[in-house]
Amino acid sequence: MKITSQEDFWAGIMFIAFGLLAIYISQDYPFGTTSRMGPGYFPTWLGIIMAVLGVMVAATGFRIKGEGVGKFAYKAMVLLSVAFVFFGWAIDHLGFVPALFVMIFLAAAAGKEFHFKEVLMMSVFLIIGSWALFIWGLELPFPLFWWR
Amino acid sequence: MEMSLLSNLALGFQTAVSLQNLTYCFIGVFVGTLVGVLPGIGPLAAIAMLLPATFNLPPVGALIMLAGIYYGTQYGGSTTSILVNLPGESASVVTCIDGYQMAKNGRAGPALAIAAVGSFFAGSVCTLLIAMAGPPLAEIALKFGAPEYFSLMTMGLIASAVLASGSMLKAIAMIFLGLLFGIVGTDVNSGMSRFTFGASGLADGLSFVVVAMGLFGFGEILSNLEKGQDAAGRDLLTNKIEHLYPTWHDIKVSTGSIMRGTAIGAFFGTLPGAGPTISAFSTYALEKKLAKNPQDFGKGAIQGVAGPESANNAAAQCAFIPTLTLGIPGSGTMALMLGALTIQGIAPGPQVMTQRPELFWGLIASMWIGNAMLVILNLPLIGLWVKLLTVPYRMLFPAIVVFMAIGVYSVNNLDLDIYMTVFFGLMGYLFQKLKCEPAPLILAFVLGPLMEENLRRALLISRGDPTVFFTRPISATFLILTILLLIVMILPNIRKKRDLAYQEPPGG
Amino acid sequence: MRARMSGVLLAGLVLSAAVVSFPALAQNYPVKPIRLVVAFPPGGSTDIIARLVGQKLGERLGQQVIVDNRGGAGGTLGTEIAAKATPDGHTLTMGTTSTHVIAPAAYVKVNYDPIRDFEPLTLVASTPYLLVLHPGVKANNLKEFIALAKSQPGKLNFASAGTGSTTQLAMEMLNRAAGIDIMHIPYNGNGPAGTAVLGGQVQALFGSMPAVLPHAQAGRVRPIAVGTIKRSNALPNVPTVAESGFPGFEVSLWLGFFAPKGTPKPVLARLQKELTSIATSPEMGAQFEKNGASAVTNTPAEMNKLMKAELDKYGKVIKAAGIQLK
Repeated sequence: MKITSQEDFWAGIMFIAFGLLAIYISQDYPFGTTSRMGPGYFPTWLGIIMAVLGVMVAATGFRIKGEGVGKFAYKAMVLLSVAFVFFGWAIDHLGFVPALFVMIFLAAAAGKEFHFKEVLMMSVFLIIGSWALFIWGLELPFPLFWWR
Repeated sequence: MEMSLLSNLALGFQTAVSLQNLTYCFIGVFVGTLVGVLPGIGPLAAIAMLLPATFNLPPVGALIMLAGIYYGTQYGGSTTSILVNLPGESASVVTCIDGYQMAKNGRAGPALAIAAVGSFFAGSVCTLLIAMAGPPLAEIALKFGAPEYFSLMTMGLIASAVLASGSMLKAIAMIFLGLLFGIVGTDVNSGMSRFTFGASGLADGLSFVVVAMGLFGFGEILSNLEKGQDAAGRDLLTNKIEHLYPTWHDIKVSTGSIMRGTAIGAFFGTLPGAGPTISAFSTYALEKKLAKNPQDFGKGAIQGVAGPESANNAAAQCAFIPTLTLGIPGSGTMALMLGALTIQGIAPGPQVMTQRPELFWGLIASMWIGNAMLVILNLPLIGLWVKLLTVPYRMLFPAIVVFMAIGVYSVNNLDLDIYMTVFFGLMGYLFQKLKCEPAPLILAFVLGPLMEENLRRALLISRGDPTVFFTRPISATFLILTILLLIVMILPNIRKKRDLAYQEPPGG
Repeated sequence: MRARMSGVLLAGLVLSAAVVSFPALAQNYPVKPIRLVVAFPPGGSTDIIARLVGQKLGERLGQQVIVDNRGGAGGTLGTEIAAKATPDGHTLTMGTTSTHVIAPAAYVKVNYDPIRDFEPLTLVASTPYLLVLHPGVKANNLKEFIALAKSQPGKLNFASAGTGSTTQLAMEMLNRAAGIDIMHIPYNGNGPAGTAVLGGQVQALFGSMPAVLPHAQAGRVRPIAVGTIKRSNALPNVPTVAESGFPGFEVSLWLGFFAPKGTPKPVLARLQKELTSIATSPEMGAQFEKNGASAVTNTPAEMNKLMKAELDKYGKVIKAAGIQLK
C-alpha cells in the first residue's frame, strides 16, 4: 500500500493525534450523564470523533492522488518564531524599542533577501511609526526601554 | 406621545448635524477605522481606552463618538483582511477567504470598494430598521433561550463546512479540531478549567486574536516566504494591480449578495450574543450555494466579499437594538456602551426613547451620517492601500510582523499570548502544507463553546429532557434547517460518487 | 585649590541629594502615572467605579491614574498581578468581595493571600443585590415566592453570573435559610443572567443592583427583596430579606482600594486620605447612585476585619453548596 497523497495521510495522522490527546486529557474531568453533562462529556466525544475522522482522512491518503507536501521553510520557521518569542519576552524586560529592533532584524533575516542598511532604515521607520501610533496615539502602556 | 417616524428622524438629524456632534462622529469613525485596520486592538479595547475621555463630553456627543468607533472598526477590519490576510476581528475572517485571493489576483481595489459600498448599504438599511422596528425586534430576541441558541449555532457550524473549497471530509475534521480548541478555558456550567495545563493566562480560553493572527497571519507569512525562495531573482509576491474600482459585472453580481447579507446580518445582530461573526459566515455559505459560479469561491469571488461585509456591518449596527431599546448588551462591547450611558446618567431601556428622544434619535441619525463618512473616508484610501501592496514583500512582511506582535500583546499584555501565536502560526503553516483549511476551524472555535454551553444549559433547565429542542418552535425551525442543509450538502457528493461508479473503466 | 573645592561641593551635593531623596520619596509621591489594576473586563460595574474614582484620584495626586484591565479567572488573574507588583505606591488595585473573599474561598488554589499580600486602604462603594422575578411568576413578595418554591421543589430555576459568583452565593444562602431548592443555572456574567430572567428562561435572579435596577424600574422584572440590611434608596418600597423573615441576612458586594504589601506607610496614609475624601464627596455619591451603588468608607483595620468575617460567612455557603473552582 503506497501513500499516494502525502498531505491527506499526514493530515489524518495529525487529527488522530489531536483526538487521542483530547481523550487522554479529558479523563481528568468528571464525565457526568447525558442529561447532566459534566465538563468531560463534550471533549471526550469530540476527541473520539476527531480520531475516527483522522482515520478516515488518513485512509484517503492511500486512494486519492495528492500534490505532495513540498519542503518546509525551516529557516523562516525558526527565525520568525524566535523573533516573535523574543519580542514577547523582551517587551517587558528590555522595553518596546529594543524588543522591536531585534524582532525586525530577526524577521527580516527570514526573508530571501537581506540588505543590512535597508533593514536598518526600515527598523527605524517602523519603530518611530509604531511609537507614534501605539504609544503616543493610542496611549498603550508599553515601557520604551528597560529603565522605563 | 405619538410622534411620527419622520418627525423623529427630523429631530434626530437636527441633533446630529450640529458642528459639535459631527466632529465627534468624525473622530469616532476615524479612530474606529484605524483600530479596525490594526490587528489585535479591537473595538472593545479602543472604546475602553477612550471611555474616560467621554466623561467630560455631553452624553449625545459621547455616544455618537463611541458608536462611530464601533461600526467604524468593521470597515477597517475588512481592509487588512483583504490586503494581507489578517482578520481584524472574527467577522473579518470570512472576508479573508475570497478578499485576500482577490488581492493576490490584483483585484484588491474592487474588493475594498465593494466592501465599503456593501457596508454602507447595510448600515443605512439597519439605521432605518432600528428607527422603525427597534423595540418589536428586541422583544423577539428575548424569546431566544438556550435551546434556540444551540440550534442556531449548530446550523452555523454545519454551514461552515460549506466554506471549504477543498475536501469536505478534511473541512469537517477541521471543524472538530476548532471545537476542541474552543474547549480551552473555564467551563461555564461547572466552573472548572479545561485544557489549560495550569496556565492562568488560558483560564478564559484562547484569545481569538491569538488564534487568528497565528493561523492566518503567521502561517501565511511562512507560506509566502517559502514560495518566495523558489523565485529566481524576481520577487514572486509583489502584487500586480488591475483596476482600482469594481466593474459593472462586479456590481451586478454583488447586488444580491449585499441585500441578502444585510438581511442576515440584521437578523443575527439583533440577537444578543450572536453577532457579526455568525452573520458573515452564514452569508458566505448562502452566497456560495446560490451563486452561478460556486467554483470561484475561495479563489476570489466578489460575492464572497460583498455578502459577508454587508452582513457584519448590518450585525454591528443592529447590535444596538437590544442595547438601546431594552438595555440588554449583546456583547462585551455593547456592555461598555451601556456603561458609558450609565455613567452619563442615562438608563437605557424603553424609557430612553420617550424621556430622552433627542439622544435616541440623534444617535440613530448619526449612525447614518457615520456610515456616509466612512464611505467617503475609505474609498479614496483604496488607492493608498493598493499602492502599499506594491512594496516588495521583503520589506512588507516585517511591518506585518510588527503590527501582529504589538496587536496581540496589546490585548492582555501577556507574553503567553505571543508564544501561543507562534504555536498557532506553526500550526497554520502545517495546515497549509497539509491542505487543511483554517476557516472552518476558526468558526468552530468561536461557535463551539457557545454551542456546548447552551446545550448543557438547555438540558439543565429542561431537567434532562432532549425533546425541548424540537418542541420549542424557533429551535425546531433551526434544527430542521440544519438537517435540510446537511442533506443539500451530502447529496451532490453521493450523486458524484454514483456517477463515478457508473463510469467503470474498461477492463475493470 | 578651586578644583578641589568644586569636587567637595559636588560630592556634598550628591551625598545630600541621596540622603534627602530616599525618605522624601514619599513626599515626592507620585513620580509617575499610577497603574490601577482592575481584575475585570472593561464596562462592568467594578470597572466603571474604578474609572470614576481613579480619575478623581489622578486629579488630586497630580499624576494620571491608568486603569489596567486584567480580567480573567473570576478576578484572580488581575489580583495576583497586583499582589506581586512593586510596592512603591504606583500600582494599586480595586479589590472586591469577589476577588478578596469569594475567590480565595471557592478556588482550590489561589496565588495570593487577600489579607497577607495586601495593604487595604479603604472601601469606596458597595453595591446591593436585588432579588427579582420574571413577571410571569405567581409571587408578589418573598413570602409567596418561598411558598411557591416549597410547593414545587426542584422545579424553579435561578440565573447567576457564573459558578462561584456572588449572585449564586446570595441565592444559595436564601435556599438554605428558607429550606427551599431552586436550581442553579449559571450564565456568563451579569448581562446574560439579566437577559435570562427578562426573557423568562429562568424565574429568578439575585442580581447585582447596577445590572437589574433599570429593568426593575421599567417594570420588566419584579423586585421582591433587597439583600442589604437597610432598604435601598432607589427602591424604597422593596423590603429587605432581613425584614421578610430572615433577620441578619446580608449580601452585598463591596469595592475597595488595595496596595501591595510593603508599600511605604506615608504613601498609604496619603492614598487613604484622598480616597476617603473622594468617596464621601457629594458628586461621587451622586455618580455612584446612578450606578446603583452607594458610597462607603472605612479604615484599613476595619477592612481586614470585614474580610475575615466574610471569609467565614461565605466560606460556609461555598462548602455547603459544594462549589469548587480550579
